[in-house]
Amino acid sequence: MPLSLPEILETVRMTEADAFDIRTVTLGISLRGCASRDPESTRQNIYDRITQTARHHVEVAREVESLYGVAIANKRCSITPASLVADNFSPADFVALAETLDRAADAIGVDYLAGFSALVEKGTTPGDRALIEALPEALATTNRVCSSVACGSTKAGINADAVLAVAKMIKATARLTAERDSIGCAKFVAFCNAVGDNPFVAGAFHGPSEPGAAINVGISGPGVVLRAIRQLGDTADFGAVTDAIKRTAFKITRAGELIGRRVAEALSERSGQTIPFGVVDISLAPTPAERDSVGDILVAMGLEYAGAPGTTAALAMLNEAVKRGGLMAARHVGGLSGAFMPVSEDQAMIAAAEKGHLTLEKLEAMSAICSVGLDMVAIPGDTPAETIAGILFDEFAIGMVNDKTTAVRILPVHGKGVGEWADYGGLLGRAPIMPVSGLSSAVFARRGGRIPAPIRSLTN
Amino acid sequence: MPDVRALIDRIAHALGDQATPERVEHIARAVLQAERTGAPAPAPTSSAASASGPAPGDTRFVVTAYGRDTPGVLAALTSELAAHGANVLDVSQKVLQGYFTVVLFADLPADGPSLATVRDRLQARGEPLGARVLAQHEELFQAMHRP
Repeated sequence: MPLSLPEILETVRMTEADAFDIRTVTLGISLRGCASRDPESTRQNIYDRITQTARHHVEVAREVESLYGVAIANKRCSITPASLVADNFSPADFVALAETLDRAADAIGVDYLAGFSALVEKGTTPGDRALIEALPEALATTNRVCSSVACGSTKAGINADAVLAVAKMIKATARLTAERDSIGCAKFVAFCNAVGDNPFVAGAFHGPSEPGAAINVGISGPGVVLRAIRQLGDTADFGAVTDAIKRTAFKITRAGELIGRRVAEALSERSGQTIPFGVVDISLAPTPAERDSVGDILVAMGLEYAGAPGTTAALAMLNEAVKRGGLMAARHVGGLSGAFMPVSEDQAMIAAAEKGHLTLEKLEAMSAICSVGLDMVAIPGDTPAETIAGILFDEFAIGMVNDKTTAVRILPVHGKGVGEWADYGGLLGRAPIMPVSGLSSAVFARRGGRIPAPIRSLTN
Repeated sequence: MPDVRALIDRIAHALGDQATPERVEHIARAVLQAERTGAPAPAPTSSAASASGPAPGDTRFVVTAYGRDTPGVLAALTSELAAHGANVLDVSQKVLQGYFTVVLFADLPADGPSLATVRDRLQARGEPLGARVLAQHEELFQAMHRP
């Protein structure tokens, strides 16, 4: 059946008026085989692997966005978790590796390269511990390197020693990057049930079970969903709202699938190595821009502000509808696939947090039904490390018990308190500093060991 | 229709060395057809445009232009397309309350310029006339609306 004029104009309106873009086309690169006895050789091998595999990535992505007239907001790379290929590194070696990665990212023209990471759900190796120890300095001395530590999973339980170490590391990073509102913490994510094909930075890494290289795509489009809901008016029932979101998600996922496939094909051809298309991550990801807010969708559903009673249900419905539409549209769906709610990157979330309508506790409840947890949440700089560990434990418990990914990207803004703002500019946006409970979690956080895996992990 | 002569002259001038009677007539017919049908535009746009794909190696693309209604936009676009050897398959135009939208389907030959080059030229022609011009590979629309 031929295309109709309204169909053409619908697509054009999405890109021209509703801020629809592909949020990220991320090239995952395996670093397996880069390890050497000598850390300097390992670093050189890693630099060579990244720059050779990704040297055409940005250029190809630009060509494809030009061909289809759909912007690809971010062209990024992820790598095998660094500690897996550098277990013999000292903390100083890891800082040097971060600098190497920064140079590699610069050479291939990506703004962020993610995967300076460790997977320590069940325990840590010497390399994992060295990487975590190196992180404050690594995040403070580089601009493009992003990191994550997976502290728990449904199968393994929660590594409590790692949680406390990560909480202390977050505090140290905040202190070292105090002059820029502790921006180092914006480049670090702590996970439960981390996934190896997540294309979204800062939490992206190229998982151990991934191929040598792969293209994964993160779609976006809060503005498109917002229009669909507004068009329904205030009296449409939840079935109709779900249907409208589902149809919209289907279309934007199809665009993401097409663009991801074309980038993978062109990149394979140009680089001379097979780089398959991996997955579409069907997440709604906001930016601080107008018409690009997940919080605005919740408001359009009928809530006065994000955070009002009903917010968790609205987000659950949004998340489910996006999945229903997206799942049918892509050959392989993966990554995080849900709604993001980074407070500093979403103007409706910022407004709600500023007025005190959105609290840490409400965000925690929302994270139980959406793809990530506490994301870009600014808290007072004097929050104790044990309290941050308590927040991590809570998020990870939600992830572990519900067999879903939860993540924490929290910013204890050094030298600032409630009522002040953290301002990062660009895509990271700005956030009011939110109050944290003053009750102590110190004894709990210091117990150490491992929180056992839940009964639901025994599925065999 | 007193302006047909002027239209043909403009198209012939824009085509320069590439002007053939058949090509000038084809573009002129497309322009006149679109202007005659005006608003609302015929939908579906064309059976020729989407039912059969482009020749092997050719790029089928969709040009969309919109802005305040100004004479000459369609002629400027079609003549520019012809100058690059693009074969215009179908044109739809809609004018509403002083604003227009034009949608064209065209095939770019395999040995022709890149779609990016053509889009840059179309935008350069549209801008002085107050028209925002997009040129996108047809595959995007097929993927989103014809899975």
